[in-house]
Amino acid sequence: MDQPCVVAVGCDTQSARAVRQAWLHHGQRYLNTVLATSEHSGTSMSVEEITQRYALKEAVAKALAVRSDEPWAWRWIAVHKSPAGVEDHDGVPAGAQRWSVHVTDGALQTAQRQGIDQWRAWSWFCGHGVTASGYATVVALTGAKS
Amino acid sequence: MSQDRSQLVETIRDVVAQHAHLSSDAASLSASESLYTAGMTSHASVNVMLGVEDAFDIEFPEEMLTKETFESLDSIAQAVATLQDEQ
Amino acid sequence: MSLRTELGATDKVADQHEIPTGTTVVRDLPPDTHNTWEQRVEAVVAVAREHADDVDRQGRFPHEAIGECRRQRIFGAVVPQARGGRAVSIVELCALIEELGRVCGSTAAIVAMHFSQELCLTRHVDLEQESALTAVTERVAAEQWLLASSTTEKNIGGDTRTSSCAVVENGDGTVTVCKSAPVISYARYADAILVTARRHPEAPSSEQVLVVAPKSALKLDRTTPWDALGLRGTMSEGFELEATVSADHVLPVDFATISSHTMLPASHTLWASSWLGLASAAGDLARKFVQKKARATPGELPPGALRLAELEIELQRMTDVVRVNVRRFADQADDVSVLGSMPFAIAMNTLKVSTSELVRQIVGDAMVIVGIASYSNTGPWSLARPLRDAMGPSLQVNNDRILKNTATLQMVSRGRR
Repeated sequence: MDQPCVVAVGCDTQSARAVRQAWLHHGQRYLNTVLATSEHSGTSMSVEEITQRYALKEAVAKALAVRSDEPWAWRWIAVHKSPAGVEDHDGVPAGAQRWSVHVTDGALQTAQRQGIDQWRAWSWFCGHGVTASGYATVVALTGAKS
Repeated sequence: MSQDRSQLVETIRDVVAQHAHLSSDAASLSASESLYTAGMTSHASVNVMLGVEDAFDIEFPEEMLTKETFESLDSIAQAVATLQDEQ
Repeated sequence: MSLRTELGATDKVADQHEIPTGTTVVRDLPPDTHNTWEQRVEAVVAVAREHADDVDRQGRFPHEAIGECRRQRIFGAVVPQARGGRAVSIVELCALIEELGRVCGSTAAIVAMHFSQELCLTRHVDLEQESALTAVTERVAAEQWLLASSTTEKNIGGDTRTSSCAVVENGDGTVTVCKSAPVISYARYADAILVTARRHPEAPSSEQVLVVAPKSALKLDRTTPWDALGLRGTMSEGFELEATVSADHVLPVDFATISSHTMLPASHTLWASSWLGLASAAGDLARKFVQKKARATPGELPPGALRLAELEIELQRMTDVVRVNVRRFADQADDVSVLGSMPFAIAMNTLKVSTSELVRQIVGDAMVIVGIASYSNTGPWSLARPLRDAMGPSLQVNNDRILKNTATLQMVSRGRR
C-alpha cells in the first residue's frame, strides 16, 4: 500500500510581543503582508492567533527549504483551522491546534518541484507577557509513490 | 557611493535601527554586513520591509521579496533604487 | 599501511592521502587485531586527539585518525557479519561519534558522514543476493572504504529532495551522472561517493535515485576550496563531478525512501552525537576549572559556580534529547511504518534543531566560565577550536539553503530562518 512519505519537517517559534508590536505599528499593512486573502475574516483576529499563523508559515518555509534568492511571501500560505481530534498527536503537545495548509504562487512551485503535495500542521501557544510565544510544527509529505 | 545612494543607505539604516531589533547597534553596521548575522529575524524583516516602504513611499513587488534583498543595507538600497528608477 | 594503485593515476594528486580519481586503489591493510569494539574506539579517539590541533591549524584532512579507523576496521562496522562487517548497533555507532566529537570535531563529522552513507547501503541493498552493490558493500568492510555523499547541487540550494542532474543511460549497460556539486565533504579522500540524481532525464525533479560511484568511476574537478572558521578538517570543497558506472550501481530503492528511512535519521542522530561530544568536552573543562578555583578558596563559592550549574542543566538537557532519539532510531530502525511516520520525522527534526543550538550555547557558556584562559588558541584551558567547531551546526541548520560559496557543510537537513 502506498502511504504518503514524509519529505521534510519545519518548526518555528514566534514571539507574540513582536507580532503585537508589528500590528500596532503597521496595522492593516502588516496583516496584508502575513495573511493570505482567504485568511482575512470579517472579525478581528487575536494576537495569539496571528502569532501561531505566522509560526506555521515560517515552519512551512523551512520545510520547503526556500532558497535565499527565491521570492517568499507569507500570504502565499493560507492556513485554516481543522477540527481537533485527528491522528498523530505524538511529537506535538496534547491539545495542539491542527491546521490545513494551502500553498499558492511561488510557494506552490517550490512545493511541486519537490513532489510535496500534502501537509500536516499543528500549533500551540505558551507563556505569558514577554515570553508568550506561538509554536508550530509542520510536516511536508509527498503523496502515493509511483 | 553617490550622494543619493549614501543618503538612501542612511535612511534605510534608520529604518533598520527602529525595526530590525538587532543585537548590535545599527549605527555601527557596515553597508554590506549581513543583517541576519547581526540578529534580524524573519519576522523583523517583515517590519523592516514595511518600514522601508513607508520611508520611500514604494511597494515591493513579490518577486523582490527574497531573503537576499534584505541581506544588508546595500542590498535594500539597491532594491529601493531600482524601484525608484522604475517610477 | 601502504597504498598501491593499479592502472595508474589519471590526475595529479594534491597530497599523498588523496585517493586519485579514475584509478582502482588496492589498500594493504595490516592484519586485524582481536580488539573489542571499545578498544578499537579508544585507539581511534587517541589518534584523533593527538592530531586535532594540527588538523585545525592547517585546515587539512585528518588522515592519521582516518588511517587509524582503517587499522581498527571501523568502516564497514554496520555491515552484517556474513558480508565481512561487525553488525555494530546504531547506539554503539553514535557512541563512537560522540567520543570522537570530544576530541576532534572534524574527524567526528567525517566518520558521521561516512556512516550515514554506509547505512544507506546496509539498509537498502539486498545483501543476501550477490550483486554489484553487495560487492561494493563488502569492499567497504574488507578494504576499509571511506564513503562520501553528494546530495546538494548548484542552483538547487540546500534542498536535497530536488535534482536537476539526471542518470543518463549510455546504451552499453553503463550510466553517467554529471553534477555541479557545491559541497562534497572530503571527496578527494573518499574511496566512493554516493550521488543523488533524477532517475532519468525525463523524470520530475523530485524523482531521485542514489548512485554509488567508486573513485575509479569518477572524474572530479575541484571548483571551490575549503577554508572555514571551524570543522576545518572536513575538506568540504566544491566539485564538478562526473561518474560513469554500470547500471547496477544505482540503488533500486527510490531516494525518497532512502532519505526518510535512513539518510535523514542517521545523519541527524550521528551529527547530534558528535555535537554532544563537543559540548560535553567543553562542559568537562568548565567543571574542572571551577573545581580548581573552589580548591583555592575553600568555603567560598568560586566565581563561575552558578554559571556552571546552569551549564550542567543545559548539558543534561542535550544529553537526554540525544540519548532518547538515538534510542528511538535504534529501536525503530527496522519498523518502516514508524520510520516513515510523522512523530518520528518530527522527533528527528527537533533533535537536529535543538542540538545545533545547544552545542553553540554550551561551548560559549563554558568559555565564559573559564574566562580569558579559554580565549587563547593554545594551552590546557583553550576552547578556541571547540567554539569555532560549535558555531558550524546552527549555521548548517540555519543556512544550508543559502549556499553562497561552500561555507556550508553538506547535511541532509532543513531548518531555521
